[in-house]
Amino acid sequence: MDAMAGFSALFDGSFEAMKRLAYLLGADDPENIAQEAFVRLHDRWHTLYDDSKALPYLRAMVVNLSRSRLRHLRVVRRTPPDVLLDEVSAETHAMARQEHKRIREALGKLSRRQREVLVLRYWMDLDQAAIADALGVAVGTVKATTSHAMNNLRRHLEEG
Amino acid sequence: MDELEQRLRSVLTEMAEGVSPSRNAWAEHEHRLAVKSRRAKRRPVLMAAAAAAVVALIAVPVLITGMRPDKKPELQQADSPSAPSLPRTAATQNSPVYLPQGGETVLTQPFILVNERVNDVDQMTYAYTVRRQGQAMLCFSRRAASDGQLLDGTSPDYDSQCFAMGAPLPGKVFWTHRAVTTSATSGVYVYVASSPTERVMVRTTEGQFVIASKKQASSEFGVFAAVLGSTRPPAAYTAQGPGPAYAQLENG
Repeated sequence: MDAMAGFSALFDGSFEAMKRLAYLLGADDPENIAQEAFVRLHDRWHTLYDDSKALPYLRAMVVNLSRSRLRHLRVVRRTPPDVLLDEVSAETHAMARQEHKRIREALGKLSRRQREVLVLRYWMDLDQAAIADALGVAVGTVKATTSHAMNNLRRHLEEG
Repeated sequence: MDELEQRLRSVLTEMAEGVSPSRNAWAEHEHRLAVKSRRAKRRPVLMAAAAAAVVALIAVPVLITGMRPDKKPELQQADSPSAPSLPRTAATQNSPVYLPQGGETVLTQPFILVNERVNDVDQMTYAYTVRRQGQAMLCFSRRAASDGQLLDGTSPDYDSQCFAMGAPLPGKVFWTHRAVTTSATSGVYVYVASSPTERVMVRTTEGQFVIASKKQASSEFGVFAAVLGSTRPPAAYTAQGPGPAYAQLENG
């Protein structure tokens, strides 16, 4: 597979996941963030001699771009829109949805880094080393942040 | 994994699935790369321009004067007899028709882009535009003239090459442009530009100006074509509005 075919395959396979990652991290324009991440990856594609580096680079880029977006939103005093769930299933899954709503609200109360760690761990299924790589922190920090995040999540749920 | 972790995983999955998939992500990506590439090309030009502002102030009026259509010796009309092989508009011949395949809508019907004789066979190259699953595309199909003017996209044997087009950014008009090379003809260029583009002025690397005239139009854009008579890519091109002013709309 030539270099650009590899890039195209990565785009096909990962664009939606990167967009959803940006969304779960709280960005209000996840598509734009995923697109920007891929444009930056494209610029660096020839320097990524090992294809396995591309996905970690993308994840780190999406995390960084989402942080920038959230900072911008704070500056202009805008609040990212909340997640829109499927209203069709509202009645049949009322209780489950109520529970999910509580967890979503509790997630929203966590610090930015705690939310990032939980999304990368429990949605992307990354191990601690990969999370550390994406966030640019030490593995020990990931362990501690995950533990604090789960404790805080539990506490917010009990208080709520 | 404890219960809270399972619930968290479930909520995150549900939230992620609530994000609707993008329909034209790859086309948008290509569009962004193209915009970025244009900006990157302009950056050194802008820096040089700052240093040579006086020169530019002199050069621009000269260039504009050089592009005026009344300077006939430098101007080559794409449809004029001197143009190598671009046929007259489709309306003057039996109009070709494209039969769209499932999921396609025809935006502009085909016109004959190149008409050439290869190995004693008349070969036609057609250009047309479609919208395929929401994505606007510029398509080319090459076939023998004896195959007739019906381009049957539903046929399993139908052969074409299509390229995604992105709607221009606000204030811009170009959707895409493509060079077309066949076994016997090169230097054929197709431009797609939004209204009110009336024509596209192309400057060759040899310094000649060629007008790419409108061959077909949809409600959104016109399709323009020109034969440059050169194997080298054009030095520059400009979308121009209606005459007689032919105001510059976008330079490429």
